[in-house]
Amino acid sequence: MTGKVLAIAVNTFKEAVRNRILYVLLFFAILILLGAWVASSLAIFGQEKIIRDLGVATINIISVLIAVFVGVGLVYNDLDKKTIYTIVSKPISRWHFLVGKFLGLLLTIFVNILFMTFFFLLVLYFRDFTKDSVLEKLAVEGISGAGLMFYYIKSAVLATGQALLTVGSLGFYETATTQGIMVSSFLTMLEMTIITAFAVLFSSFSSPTLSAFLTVIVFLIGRANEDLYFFANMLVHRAGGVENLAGGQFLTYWFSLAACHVAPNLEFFNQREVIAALGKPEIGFYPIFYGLAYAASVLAIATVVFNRRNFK
Amino acid sequence: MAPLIEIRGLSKVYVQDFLGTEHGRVKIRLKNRRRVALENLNLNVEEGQIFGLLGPNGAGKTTTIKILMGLHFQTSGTATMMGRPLGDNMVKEQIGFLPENPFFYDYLTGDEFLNFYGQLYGMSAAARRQRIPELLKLVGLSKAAGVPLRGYSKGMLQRAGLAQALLNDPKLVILDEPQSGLDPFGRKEVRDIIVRLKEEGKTVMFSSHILSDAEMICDRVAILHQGHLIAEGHLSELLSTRINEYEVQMRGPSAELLEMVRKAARTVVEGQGDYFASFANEKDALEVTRRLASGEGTLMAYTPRRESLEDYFIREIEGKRAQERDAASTGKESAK
Repeated sequence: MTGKVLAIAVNTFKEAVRNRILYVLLFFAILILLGAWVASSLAIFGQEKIIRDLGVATINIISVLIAVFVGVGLVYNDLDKKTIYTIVSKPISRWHFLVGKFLGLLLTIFVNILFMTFFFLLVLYFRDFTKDSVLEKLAVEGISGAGLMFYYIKSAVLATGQALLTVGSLGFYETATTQGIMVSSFLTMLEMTIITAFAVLFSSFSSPTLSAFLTVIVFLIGRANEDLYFFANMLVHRAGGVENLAGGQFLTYWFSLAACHVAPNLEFFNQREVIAALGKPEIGFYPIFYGLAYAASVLAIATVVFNRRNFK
Repeated sequence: MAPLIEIRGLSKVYVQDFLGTEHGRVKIRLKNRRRVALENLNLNVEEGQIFGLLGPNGAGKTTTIKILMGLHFQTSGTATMMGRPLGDNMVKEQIGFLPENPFFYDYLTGDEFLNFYGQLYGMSAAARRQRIPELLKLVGLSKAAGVPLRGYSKGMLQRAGLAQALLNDPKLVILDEPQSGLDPFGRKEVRDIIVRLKEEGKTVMFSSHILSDAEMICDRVAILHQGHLIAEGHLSELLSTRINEYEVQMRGPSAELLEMVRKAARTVVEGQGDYFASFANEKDALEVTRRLASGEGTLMAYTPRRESLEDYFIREIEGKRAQERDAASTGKESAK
């Protein structure tokens, strides 16, 4: 069973990395990260904050765009071109196909997040913001370009592994900035797990355009989740109770409340606070549990929908 | 012995929802939004046979196959394959399937493509390494094994599709229009593979428009028309053994003979200086050959023709259409 899901996942990864949109998005990511360098150079103060915030936001937004624009087409293409006929007629269940697609897309996004993070760390390094004692030591010993690349790849893998084990603190890096960026990228991966699950859910029953639209809506509501909750409560507070809400306000109240309860709370993966806390950034157990459980629930719904449909 | 495929009262009604999407699970009954694709189909496919599912476009052939392969769900009725319900993974392990006009991941090479499907069958790496070159050889794609599928011609893609359907050495092979879009050579290759599969003891069910091919290789056929089964049986049962037509090909007939031929023959066609006359009556045909022999022209060929599957098919379908027209006109008159 695992082998069949993995075969679909690997094939999905092969398919996704052939998508030109992916490279256009990565090109923009590199452009913005380099732009962040220039912008921070022009600032009189807060240079490190500018480059850090821009970089983290870029990695996050580009990841969402990859999930949306690459993700929504993957399931739909197999349905539209009827490739799915020869796949689900093999001894696999339909959920194997969906989970395989999900994992393949997730792998694509994770690889891209790692690539962007690596590039961003390089920008920071050359901008002199992360030259910690370890790197300086390596530099003194005459580190080569390949050696530096190896150092960062090893660091990224180790940091991700450590975070997965919920050690709470990465503690690998000497500087808070590097730690913060690694943690922030890990949180972005968790956030993308949920967004990818939604992209797969929507594309299992609707067109790519509608799927992309719905996935973006979920992302926006998810990001504004706590604000929506605050807004709903503020309406009640001002009116002096739910019973005093006028017709339109009453609908707005229930819509806001329903939206923030149904949509995921992506504030759990908010990187701003992590970056701002220049101490030792920590990842609690809850965001990991929340991300995985939420994505699993969305995939379960996608499976129910997918199991019932006729393939045209 | 229990049939390999058993279909009982299978029906499929597509319902169009407000978005225009067709599905078959929601029981909405809106006027003009329902399309009956299959109605009360009963069929048996026995082991070791080549079974042809025939019919014009929209007859319900592909719908039947889609339901059998678990791609669509029936509205009512039941079907089993190898005595087990549809969609059972144990059954799927023993089935090879090629859909109509298949589309595959075209960035994969022939080798990678079969390797991917081998993994879906749960074949071990060693089994795949052994089986894939064998199949590529069988379908004549050994030289194209390293070429991405986007570089394949339609015929090559069809053969690659056949190869993926045979990866698991299936007991039952289901092919939807396997000869669609192929040239005569490609059609012959597919026909030969189907016959070879039968010789290996496999059961093959395929749908086709190409009746001459079906006639050549099928043991049994079912003819569908607008979702209804209109005939099913062995070809020897369906086709009459009597001669039903006599064809005479002649060159340079005299004016008198030609006049006689035009009066007596069902059809007379002229082409490249020859006349092709078709007679229902053997006596008339023999009279023409006698007069040709006595110098009123040259006899090129005399062919008594048995009813072909195509003749039978056209006769049955046209009969069905005539019945429908009669029923419709009777309905209109009674409405007046």
